Amino acid sequence: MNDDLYREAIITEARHPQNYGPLEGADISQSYINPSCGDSIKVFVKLDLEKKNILDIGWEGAGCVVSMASMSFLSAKIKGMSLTEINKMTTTDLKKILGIKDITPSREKCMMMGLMAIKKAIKDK
Amino acid sequence: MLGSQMIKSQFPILSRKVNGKPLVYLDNAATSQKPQAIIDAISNYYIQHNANVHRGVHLLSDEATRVFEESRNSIAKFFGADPAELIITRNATESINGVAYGWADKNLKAGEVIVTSLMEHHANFVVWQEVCKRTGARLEIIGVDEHGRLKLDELKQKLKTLPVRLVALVHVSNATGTVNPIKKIKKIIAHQQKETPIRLLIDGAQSAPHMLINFHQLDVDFYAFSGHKMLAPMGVGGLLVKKELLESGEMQPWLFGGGMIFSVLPEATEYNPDLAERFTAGTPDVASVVGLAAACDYLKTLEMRKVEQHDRELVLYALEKLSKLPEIKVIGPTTPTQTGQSLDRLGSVAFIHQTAHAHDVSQILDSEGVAVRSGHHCTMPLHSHFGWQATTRASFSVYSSKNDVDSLVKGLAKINQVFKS
Repeated sequence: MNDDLYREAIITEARHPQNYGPLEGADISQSYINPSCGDSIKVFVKLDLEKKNILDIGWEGAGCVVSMASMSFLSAKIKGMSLTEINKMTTTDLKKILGIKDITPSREKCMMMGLMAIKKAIKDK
Repeated sequence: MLGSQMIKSQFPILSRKVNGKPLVYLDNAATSQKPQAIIDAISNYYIQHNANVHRGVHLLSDEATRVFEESRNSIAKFFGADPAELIITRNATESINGVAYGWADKNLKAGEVIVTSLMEHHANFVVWQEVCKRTGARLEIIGVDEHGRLKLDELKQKLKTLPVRLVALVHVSNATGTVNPIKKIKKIIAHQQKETPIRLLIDGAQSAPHMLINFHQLDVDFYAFSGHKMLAPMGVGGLLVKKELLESGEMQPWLFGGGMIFSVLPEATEYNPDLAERFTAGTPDVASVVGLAAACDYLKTLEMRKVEQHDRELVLYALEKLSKLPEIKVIGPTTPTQTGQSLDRLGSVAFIHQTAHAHDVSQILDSEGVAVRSGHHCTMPLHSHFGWQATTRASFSVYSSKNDVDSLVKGLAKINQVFKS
């Protein structure tokens, strides 16, 4: 099942991540750690005037292919999305975004790190 | 059918002989025996899946993690609790100590009061004496009437007049078999709730093996249980804690180290936001947790309502048989509080032999293959209050039968022969 995780698309995405780097003029920034392995991610989020939708996002972090690719795909996907929609996202959505059917509990934490960072940022905004 | 030969045959140890006689095991309040299904579940874990949980990427670690999580979930479900509300411990004693360190030490101030009772097992007594030493809180003890029932008026009185923060009571007494009326106790507490809430801890070591427990319906703040008394291996038990106490941080972790952290920096540590992980420091006993889940499945198949009914019948049968022996005096409730109600007693029947000491009683019973327990059953305050030197206790499980009670009664006849000669 793990062959799925190491498809070329995922590796390439992790090597050439989208929206990488701090975002100037961000309204919120938030760090998140995967306590199992110590990998971390920091997100920078810019909101619209009503603070209801995400206008732009930047991120930086150190982690495995799964966490980096997942964050990268996610950063592209959520631009323009409302905070409510983002809060509703689950592992199922992330699996869909990565194009994988199944993931082990330990790697699920890697996959979810980016989304957890964004949700934490929204909560603490 | 409970207590049948078919059920007995699922417990390998019950087919062995003791002193040349078939084993009649009536020491279930101390620990129950284990069915083959549970022994298999434990050995299968070691044969098939053993690896450390949570931090491994390799297949075995993944399987061990899944098995562990699934087991936790099914244990929580068995007790009608949310998986986040279950903290895995070694046993009820460790669970109660967990409340002492994780809750009492953090919340109690000098002069505040913990209420417990005279019928408590030492696990729900000594722990609070120690908390009082550490925090300056005071321990107040409610009494027990001559039938072995709690004096609830004393609870009312103490709640009314003292700054009570915690009420810690046993659900089913391991000495008298008394089933304490939790609903009534909850009502009494609710009536006296003040600005600072009064928390209720229930020691469920003797109720979990015999009653259907639904933590949400029971609606208490803490419920402690031991796995080994409910067919699971020794060394695993649980503490159920109301989610709001965990989420608000009123209940804090009391063991620290690996697994329970979110981030660790030289200057400070942040705990894991995942509640289950926050309270699991260090490598858990995965195989025993698997065994406990298998025990819950086994009991679920038997149906806890039937388990309770079976136990009740055995208690009544034993009471009836023992009441015919003039040299035996049963301790604890023997008639319902009101006619028409069922007897508020479960799990065991303890008694005093008028001429023979409890240790001699159980020694002679053992020579007949009957295993019972004698002594103070870790309830010294209760025993000394009533002036009982020691009592002899026969206690039941799903495989116990009326034949076992008959063997006990037959064994007691031998005591008379020995002591009359």
